[in-house]
Amino acid sequence: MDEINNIEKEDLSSPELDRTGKENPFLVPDNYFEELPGIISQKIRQANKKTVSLSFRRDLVKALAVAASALLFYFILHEQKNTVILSTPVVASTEADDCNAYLAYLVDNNELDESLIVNALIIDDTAKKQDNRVNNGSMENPVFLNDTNNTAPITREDIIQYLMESDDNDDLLN
Amino acid sequence: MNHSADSDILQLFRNSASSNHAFDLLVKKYQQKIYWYVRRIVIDHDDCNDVVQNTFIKVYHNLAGFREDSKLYTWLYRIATNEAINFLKQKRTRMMIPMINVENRLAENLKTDPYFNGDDIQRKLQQAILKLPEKQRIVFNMKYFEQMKYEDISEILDTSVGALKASFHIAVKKIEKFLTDH
Repeated sequence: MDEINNIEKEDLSSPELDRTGKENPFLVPDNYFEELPGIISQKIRQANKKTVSLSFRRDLVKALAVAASALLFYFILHEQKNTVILSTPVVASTEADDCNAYLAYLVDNNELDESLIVNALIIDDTAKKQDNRVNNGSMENPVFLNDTNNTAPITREDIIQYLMESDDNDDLLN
Repeated sequence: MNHSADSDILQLFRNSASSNHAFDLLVKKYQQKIYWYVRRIVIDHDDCNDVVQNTFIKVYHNLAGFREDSKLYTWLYRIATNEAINFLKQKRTRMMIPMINVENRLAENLKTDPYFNGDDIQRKLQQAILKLPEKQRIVFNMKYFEQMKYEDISEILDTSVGALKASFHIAVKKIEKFLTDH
């Protein structure tokens, strides 16, 4: 009971403690408390400057990162586009190959009748032959361009007969 | 020295134009109380200087949010207590020394500390106090040296008045035995 009463006492007395006294045995450097408020204020100001600077630097780094990512993305896309174009084989072609390729394209896309191709090829072939005859000074094998069925050579007599049968050609014979 | 009332300091601080002046008033009003309170916990002056500065810097950053549901000075003491305890924890970790040895090291350092002016009895008392468990030591310092009311100590340490009374009583008994034995 005494123990509980002792605990409840606001001012606990102790002979041993009383002998030691309550004097403060600790010391501080000279002018410590005069300078302390200024030191604390300065630290707070420095910390605030650092916070602003760090915050600005963080924002700048973020902005640069976004810009770098956008640039990288653009380059990747650009490179992919070039790679697609370059991967299409480039074949050296002559003028005739170009025409044939064009004609083939028209056929593939149902824009051209195959019979016209055949006619064109025949025209091409016979044109070459005509060139050769002209170059060689020969008139014996004239070609009627629209008559694809006529492949027999035409003689002088055929021409004369043709002219005689035609009334319009009287002046020519005379 | 006449100091401003806590309510006046708080009012000045809430005005951005006078907040720095208000904080300066607050530091000048409480610096010595906080310093000596912390000094008895950490013992060494340089350590105490660091803890006190950190305490007031923390006060500055949190003062705008102080809700006045406790007294300003109990709030300051609570921050100072936490800073001092954390400091000792970090010291133990840095020095890789178990809890008890840090306090023994602090007691030993008193013999050569240029900022300790006490006689042998004073040194023995500090040694006896350093032997107490951390919280008990803080309670003893607050009651014996700061002469705080139990209700205020209860607010600072978030401990019941009954527990504080019992803790103080036990602390006194331990110190008495130490002084008798040494």
